Amino acid sequence: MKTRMQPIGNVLTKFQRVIRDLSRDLNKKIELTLEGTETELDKTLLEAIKDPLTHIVRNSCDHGIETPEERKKSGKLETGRIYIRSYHEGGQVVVDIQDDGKGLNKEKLLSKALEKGILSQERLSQLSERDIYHLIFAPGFSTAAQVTNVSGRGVGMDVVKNNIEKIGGQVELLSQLGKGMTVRLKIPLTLAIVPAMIIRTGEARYAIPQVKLVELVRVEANTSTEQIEYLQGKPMYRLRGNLLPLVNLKEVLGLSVEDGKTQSITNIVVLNAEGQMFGLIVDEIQDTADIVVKPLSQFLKSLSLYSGATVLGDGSVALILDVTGLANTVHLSAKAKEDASLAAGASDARIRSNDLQEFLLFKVNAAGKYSIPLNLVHRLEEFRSDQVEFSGAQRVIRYRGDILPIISLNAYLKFPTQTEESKNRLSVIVVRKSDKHYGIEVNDILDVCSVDANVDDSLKDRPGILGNIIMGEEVVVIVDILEVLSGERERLGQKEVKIGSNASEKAITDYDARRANFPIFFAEDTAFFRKHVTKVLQGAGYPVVTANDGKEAFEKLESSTSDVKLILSDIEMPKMNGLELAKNLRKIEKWKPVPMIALTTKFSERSVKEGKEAGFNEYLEKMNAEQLINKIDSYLLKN
Amino acid sequence: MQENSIREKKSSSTKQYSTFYIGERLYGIDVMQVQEVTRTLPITRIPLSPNYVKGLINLRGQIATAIGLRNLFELSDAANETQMNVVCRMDGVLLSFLVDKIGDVVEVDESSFEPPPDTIPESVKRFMHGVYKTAGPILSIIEVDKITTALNKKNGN
Repeated sequence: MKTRMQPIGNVLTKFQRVIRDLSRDLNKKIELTLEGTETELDKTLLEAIKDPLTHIVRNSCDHGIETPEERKKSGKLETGRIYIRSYHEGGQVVVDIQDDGKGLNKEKLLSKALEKGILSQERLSQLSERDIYHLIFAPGFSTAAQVTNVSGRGVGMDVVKNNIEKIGGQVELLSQLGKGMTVRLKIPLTLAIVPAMIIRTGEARYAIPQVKLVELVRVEANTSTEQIEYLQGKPMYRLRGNLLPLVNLKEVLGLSVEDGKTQSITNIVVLNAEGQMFGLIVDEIQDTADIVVKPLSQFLKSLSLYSGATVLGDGSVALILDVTGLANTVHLSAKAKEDASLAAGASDARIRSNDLQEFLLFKVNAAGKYSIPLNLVHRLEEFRSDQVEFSGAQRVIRYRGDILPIISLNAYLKFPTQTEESKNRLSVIVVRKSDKHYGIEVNDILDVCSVDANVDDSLKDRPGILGNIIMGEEVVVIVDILEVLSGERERLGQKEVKIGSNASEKAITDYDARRANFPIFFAEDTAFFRKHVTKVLQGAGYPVVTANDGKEAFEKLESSTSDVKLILSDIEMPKMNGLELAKNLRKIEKWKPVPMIALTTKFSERSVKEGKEAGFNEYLEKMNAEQLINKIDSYLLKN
Repeated sequence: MQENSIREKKSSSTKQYSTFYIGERLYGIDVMQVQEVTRTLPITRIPLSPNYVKGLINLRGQIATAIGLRNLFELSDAANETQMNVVCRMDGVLLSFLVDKIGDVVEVDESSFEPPPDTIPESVKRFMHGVYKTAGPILSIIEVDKITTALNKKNGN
């Protein structure tokens, strides 16, 4: 607590200078006297009152204190005085800003209010003195005869009032015409009282600050239509079509979770942690209460799960949950998992993309639907099981004069495979990669669906899964078909194509070694493509640095001292698109000579022309790995 | 009243310690650092906290953090069910040390002081100021400062 309390003098002393500067600008003589600078105030509050205070002081100088001539005329000292006094009173800190200027002129205030239409004529008579003074807090109210750069700009006292009230304080005005006025700020000692929701989990009760709370959901096992689903072993809840990841508070706190007993009612507290929504499963939702936040001892601060403790009405102590800390605790594990499976590429736990993408939906031997991006699909075929031949243990099918290896997705994803053997028809998705065709065998091909949704890649429980997506009312698992293929190719003894298939072995190794010296920067917002292209590039031997959108890319490159030799970029990205990125980068001396290649799915003469004008050297198609590598080689290695 | 009279009697060469037991061992904390001694109070556990942090105690509206000295000193955990609280205030933070039994406030002579013997396990020694060879069992003096610094250090803060 003590560390949070700071003397108000830290803020007040800087007004000496503000006033010195102002009096010079305004040709007035003003002296500032500070009292009670040692009065302590919560650090956050101090921060919050800094701007309002500055404004009040500037107001006093500009409107309050008269010019030396005026002052002489009214029999005052030439030098105006401003006092700032702070002291404790009734559990609050009071800050008085007093000047000996002309004070508030009631007539002037009223006529101004009428003129601005803030007041109607008939309301005038009903106003008390206090009400009239408080007119200066009305938005857009200014009595300054002319607008100066000091005040009279119409944004002013209303903002002061709002800011002070936001932190639970009050503003009062005392004024005497011709003698001066006092602005009195009453500020609570700390921000320590917050409305909270009290919940129970296990034996103990916890408080959750209301500001973080979005809603409460109660799921009844028998009656509700919406149920808690388990996606890759993690609980999920569909909240009005949005996928809400659930977190069991018991699990987070390391309390024992009674597994066998399925509860008939699940209480979910929907929380918002800096934009990230998640549901917290608790045993019981009790009540709301205004709680007094008491900080935890210094040595418990490292427990980011709690933001403090409070004494409840019955005298027991409850911990206050820190929602952001809670989200971080939960996400860290997910992130670590992702980092392990994703050697490079995406670094965010959640990657959002707004590309409208088409997906092919199919069934495998697992609950739910699975899908792959449609643009990877070459053809859909159905084969009779007697068409299947064997090359060693590998199932193959003669397909258009070529041999089509059949890869069972069930086997790859380690789902049971029995049923597919007994079937006499095979549903096969033919995928083309590097001039070779591959047959991916699935149980059933269902549908093609076009969704504008975010691929959530924070959840994947096995290799071969890229993430999840919400389609309508369902969660669909996206299979990382490229990973499946490269995994299978290794098994089938086919080398990853490093350069055009006719290149000799020697050339490949030679290229490999040289490629390592040419780092490539890649900006792409869609997780799927970012991962794929990164893989292709790294497979070829290029070091890759990625960014999730144009803005991030620009920020990384702008400041970076890196030796990036070539920049790849998507065109359609949020925040800053590829064209802007290219234009901005071309303005920087360092990036002027660096080749830039646009990777896109959109090809029209116009877009290519636009791209070249923006500074791209080349336009390439997203999914064509060989072409990409060849092009990059031609830029970096051949000259 | 009583304290005043004791203080008057106190000569410059003696010190007063509030004593307590953990198991059979006698410990003492400078009486001026002890705010109060209370009987067992309900404790709110803090999940995920270190094992020596027993939880939070409501001390007439103030929240004190309960530290299990038995765990902190890494003594064998033959925990006594009824634990007494020795409440100390350090830098405005309330710490309540859970001990097995409360002893007397004793006045000891400086001449009987010795620094902690070398053979004392480091787990306890690092909190010790020294020992007094009193007529009864030997009194080990615990320094609250050392405990708070150790606690803060352990958590990287």
